[in-house]
Amino acid sequence: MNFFTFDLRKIFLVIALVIVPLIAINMQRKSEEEMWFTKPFTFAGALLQRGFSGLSSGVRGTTALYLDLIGVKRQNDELKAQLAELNAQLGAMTELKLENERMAKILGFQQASKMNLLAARVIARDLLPDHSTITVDRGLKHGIQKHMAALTIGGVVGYTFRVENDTSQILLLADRYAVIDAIVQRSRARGLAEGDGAAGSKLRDLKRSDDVKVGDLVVTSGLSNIFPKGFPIGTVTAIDKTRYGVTQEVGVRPAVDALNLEELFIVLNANHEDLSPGGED
Amino acid sequence: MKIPWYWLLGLGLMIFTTVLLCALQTSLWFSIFGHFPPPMFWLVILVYISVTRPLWEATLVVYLLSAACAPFTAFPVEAWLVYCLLLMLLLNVIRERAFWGGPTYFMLMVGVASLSAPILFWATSRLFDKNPVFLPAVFAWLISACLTTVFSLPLYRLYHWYDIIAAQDAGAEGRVGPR
Repeated sequence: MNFFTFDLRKIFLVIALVIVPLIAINMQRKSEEEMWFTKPFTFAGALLQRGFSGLSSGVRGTTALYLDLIGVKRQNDELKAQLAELNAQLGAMTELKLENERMAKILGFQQASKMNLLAARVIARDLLPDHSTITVDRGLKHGIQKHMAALTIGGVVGYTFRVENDTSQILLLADRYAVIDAIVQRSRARGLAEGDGAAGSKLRDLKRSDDVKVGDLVVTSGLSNIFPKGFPIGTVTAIDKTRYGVTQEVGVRPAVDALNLEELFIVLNANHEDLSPGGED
Repeated sequence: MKIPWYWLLGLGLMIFTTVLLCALQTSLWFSIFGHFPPPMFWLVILVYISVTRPLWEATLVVYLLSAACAPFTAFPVEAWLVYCLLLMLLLNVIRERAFWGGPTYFMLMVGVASLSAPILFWATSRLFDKNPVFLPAVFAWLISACLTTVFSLPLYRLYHWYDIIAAQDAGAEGRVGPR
């Protein structure tokens, strides 16, 4: 074959492999200048790169988030457990604080009083809803006997009516069986405070002519040295004078809500303490 | 004379359970639920023996029950006895007229007893007390009645199991009923 025979394929081949690269190398082009024909590819490339990068970071982020969530969940569980524990501790601390305050008051009362008092804790209540008794954790072996007074700082609670070795049952003032000798503090009118079966009590056997007003304080008479004299029983809430009777019946709201008590005192010996105004104490 | 040990064992278990439940009712219940009225656990055994035992045996158990429950309340033991006997007789009268046995019947009878209890208590108090109940604690009794009926089912199973281990076939149901 003659060398000068034109073969277009060979010409293109020579141009593409030798001439164009030589021309391109020898062109005085600034390296930072972008060729017009590369611009679309640059744009497309950049777009795709951003897409892939976004996808990648998204996946990585989601994965990391998921992994973090697992960690967060674990951490959350731990924190919840810690919170529950702290709440329990806080509850216990609050309970202790309240108990401490109660005890401090009780101790103060016990020390200030000349009565011989025994602190006791309430452990049970009556079997029947129509009776108001409580059981405390002190009994015969702690010196308690039948018919000893039970009281708190606020007033009279009741008296012991059944005593065992380690426990005692207390008939609350509101019980129908409970009767305590009482006087109206202002007028010194004398009667018997008797439970009415509900949460209250009544003052009976008062003479019709006795001076009693709603709001008067009813206190213990101190008879028989069971209760201290002048200790609050309750407040007069109602007065019932029958038309022809010789007595009047007076409703009394007890000074102490005995059903909510947790601790109380048993009076081992009242030592004739007189707490009425103008009394010896 | 042969001593009925199994019978005594069953009786002992029932009384022991009653004392246990009375302690739970008066102590643990109020520690947890405060003033919310408790179920009358003592009533469940009274109903159980009233509907599953012959009259003489039920009467004997009522005496034991009264003695077992009296320490938990200010209500005097003799008043308790009369109160429980009245309840037992009432249940006995009902049983004589309608008896089909089983837990449903038992729960129904507990419901009847729970609702009759405050009325009989009121009557007994009127009879015995110097300062009788004027108006029973209706709300507390009603709540107690509902709870007692609910708790009666597991207790029925328990007492029934006592009957079985004491070799007294549930029977109790079989050998009682209208005679």
